[in-house]
Amino acid sequence: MATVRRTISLPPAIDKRLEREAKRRKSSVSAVIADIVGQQPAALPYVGMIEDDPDLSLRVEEVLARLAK
Amino acid sequence: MSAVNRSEGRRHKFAAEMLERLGRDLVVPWPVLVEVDLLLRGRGHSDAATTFSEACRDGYHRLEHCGTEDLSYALALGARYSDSGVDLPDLSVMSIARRLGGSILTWDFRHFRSVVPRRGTSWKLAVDEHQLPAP
Repeated sequence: MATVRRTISLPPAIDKRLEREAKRRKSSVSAVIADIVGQQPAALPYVGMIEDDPDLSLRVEEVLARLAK
Repeated sequence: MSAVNRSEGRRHKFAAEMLERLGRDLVVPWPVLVEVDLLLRGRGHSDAATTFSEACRDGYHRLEHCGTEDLSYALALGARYSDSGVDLPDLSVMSIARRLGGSILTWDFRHFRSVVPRRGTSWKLAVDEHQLPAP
């Protein structure tokens, strides 16, 4: 996977915890941060973007069939 | 689709919360991504179609390819249920669920209950009919 470089500042205590966790996992600090952040629920950018038929999700095949005509 | 469409009320909220909680544990098969794109664009929601694809690209969920083996299984299953009206996107979801061993998140209970891997078995669905809220 492609990666980007980013410099971050951390409180020393958090930095120490990260180092310890990276050692425990036999991994890098970057990998630990990526893993922890990746596990957090993220607000999804597409949620609530449209207002359409209240039953649209139940009528997917019907709607697609109509579009094909 | 429920997560994108805020007109679906309680069903929208239920779906959005579920997808946010699942995050990268949610696998989006390529055929499903294409189906979502077609549906949204066909209804005039091209911005939402693009945003959904970008979210898959950016790793909010896990985009999964459908390979030759998945397609072979999908075609064989589709042939067994040729009268059911089940389409390739649904069959690809079943193939990938079989390969990865996961449960399936769908509101299409008609097809996912009737098209089964083997007689006497069923797909493991993440949501049952009685759990799906009305809008």
